[in-house]
Amino acid sequence: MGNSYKQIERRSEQSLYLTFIRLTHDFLTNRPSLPGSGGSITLEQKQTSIPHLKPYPFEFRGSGGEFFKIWIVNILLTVATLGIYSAWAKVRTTRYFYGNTFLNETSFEYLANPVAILKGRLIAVALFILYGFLSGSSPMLAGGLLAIFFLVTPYIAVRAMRFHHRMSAYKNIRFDFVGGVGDAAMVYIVWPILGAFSLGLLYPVAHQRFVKFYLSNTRYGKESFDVTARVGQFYKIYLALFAIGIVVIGIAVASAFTMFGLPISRDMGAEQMQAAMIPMIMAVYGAFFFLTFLMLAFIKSKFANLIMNSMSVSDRFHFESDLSLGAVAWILFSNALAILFTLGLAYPWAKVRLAHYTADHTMLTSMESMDAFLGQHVDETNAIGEEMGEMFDIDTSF
Amino acid sequence: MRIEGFYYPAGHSKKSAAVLICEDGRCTLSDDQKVLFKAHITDFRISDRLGDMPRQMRFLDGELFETEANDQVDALLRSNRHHGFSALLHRLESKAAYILPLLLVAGLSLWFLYAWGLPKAARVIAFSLPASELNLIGDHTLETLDRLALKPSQLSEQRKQGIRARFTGLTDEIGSGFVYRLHFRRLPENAADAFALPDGSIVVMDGLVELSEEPWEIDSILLHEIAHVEERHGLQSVFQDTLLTLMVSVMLGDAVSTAQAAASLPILLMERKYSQNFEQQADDYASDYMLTHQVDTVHFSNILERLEASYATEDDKTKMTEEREPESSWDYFSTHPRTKDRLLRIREKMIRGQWSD
Repeated sequence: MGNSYKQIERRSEQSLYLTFIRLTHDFLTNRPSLPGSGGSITLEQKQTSIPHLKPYPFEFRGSGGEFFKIWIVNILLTVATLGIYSAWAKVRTTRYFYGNTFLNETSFEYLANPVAILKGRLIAVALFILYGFLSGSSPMLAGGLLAIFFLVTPYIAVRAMRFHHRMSAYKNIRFDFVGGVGDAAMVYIVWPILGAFSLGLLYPVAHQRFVKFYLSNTRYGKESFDVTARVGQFYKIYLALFAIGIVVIGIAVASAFTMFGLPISRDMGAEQMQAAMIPMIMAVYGAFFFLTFLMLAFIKSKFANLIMNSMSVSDRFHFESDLSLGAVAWILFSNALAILFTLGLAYPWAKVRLAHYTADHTMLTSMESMDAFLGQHVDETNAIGEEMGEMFDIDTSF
Repeated sequence: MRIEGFYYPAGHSKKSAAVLICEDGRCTLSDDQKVLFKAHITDFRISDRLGDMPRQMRFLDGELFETEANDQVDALLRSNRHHGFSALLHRLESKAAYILPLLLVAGLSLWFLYAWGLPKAARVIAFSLPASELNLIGDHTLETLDRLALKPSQLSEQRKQGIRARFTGLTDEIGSGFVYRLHFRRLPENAADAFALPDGSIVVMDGLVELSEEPWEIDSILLHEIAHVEERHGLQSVFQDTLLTLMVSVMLGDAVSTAQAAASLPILLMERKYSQNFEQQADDYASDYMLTHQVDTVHFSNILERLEASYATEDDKTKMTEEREPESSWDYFSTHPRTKDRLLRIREKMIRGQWSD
């Protein structure tokens, strides 16, 4: 139970990570804006001085049908090659989503070499099997492996982010990640532990520190990202999330009580008892299913808005995000139903649909000319660790 | 050949319209005023075609030419280089007529992988471990269970000795690398049950012993548990579940959380199916053993039937004789096959066994 809860938690974090990975990389434009502008603008000015700001909306041009065919070929070849092709599949999928995300009539690029990803995956699978092996024979050794893995997480995470960023480009200029292992250890080990020991009270701080670490170490050519979202703003969202959680538990308790009111009597057989309980259990499961997506949508929309709206590049380029809770909840919920009832076939369509919505509700604003971004030389062949980069992409997600 | 697109200088984001003209593999890129550079087609790193996305042609020192004229780039590649794997991929990914066959082949191979490939792989991995490795897990697990749920047995020493003697007889004959140990425990409310740990520890509850009316009844249950150990079902299921999770996450790629959440229920159902298969294997093992030793498998059926009855409520017992509901959606969630099916299979085996004699 604890394990699956952890997975769910990790997945919600992963979705957040994916959201802002996408949004972070889907960025910047080159159209000269109003002349004579320069210097920095603050968030407050940005909201009030609209006339001087030029909006550059993001646009997603992929289609569910086109991606469906790519996806089905990916699956077929992955199965046929016993997983080897999965590295190519990953690159093709990421390229499809990056390459169809446009800003100012120019798309993003994902340049990773599948062979590098394959090497990382082989190591990951080997470790995964070793772990399964050990947990079946010696829980002690398995625990030791987990502990070692936990300790090297910061190193792996920094490598993974660097790999990912350097393989992402826009307008012939690459992204980069310059975070150090020491800082990573703070956000991957120290803060989460403090969060756990404070019974979650410090968790919002841990989250904010992570976002800050991730974005302030992100580079686009010679430009730096930054984020100004404050700890208090993270607390607000977590508080609301906590309130939703209370409601969910309340509903569970209430439905447990109504179960006593069901037409179940002592002289019913087990089969009849089951028959009477099935609709009830279905209803509870359905309610939980829906509320899960409400919470996921809350996490996705609120954090994306908070982070994007306080994110800037060199303090001259700002982002705006207005994901709505209702729309995101509906999309996630109906996507999941569609995937469930088509036995997975709706997955490509669902993924494209979410990308469309996210892009449509994100934009970049600036008063400045963006014609003159300069690239930083990025050494592509600086190997060993980079290949480990994609190894545990799960663990780069906070 | 003339291809229109955009040019970016090395290390600079400045985008400008440009035209690439290629003749026999020699290409010239120019804007409306001047020639930007000349290069041979093989000096470009050209991105693979994917849908109708813009195509990037990178020159060695970091200059970039980007175009949406995918067909022309393909034609250029065809006439100057061998038509590679990426072109084949694009054909597969773009023809509408291929969808149905691809879907069919992908579906069938996924099914094959799930029903045959993963169990086979899990088996190979599980059996590659030396039996001595498995002994490491034993005592800790039982200690934990003792602390949490199990109570000391209240059976008489004589009864225990009797069962132990027959158990040793069974394990001596099977004689594998496992060191078998028999433990007696009691469950709250004296529930009837038995289970095996991967290291060869088999735990029998008082309730089960008290249900039995004939030594072979206990023996058949012990054989069922021995089968779990011999066949390394515990270890196999760990690997099966691990591989299954791995397979689903690879299939979904870098999946959004929705797809993962939607997949959790089907994964649970698939794992249950694996578990039911193991129970069936263990039943087969026990009844095969009994058949080769000329023992009537009816003893096995009897104890299973009494076990089932012991789980049912008092009221159920009065209805035991009545026709039961043939299908229940609960079956899919159960770790064990339905008792009715298990009994049927044991009986069938016996009939077949008698015929072959």
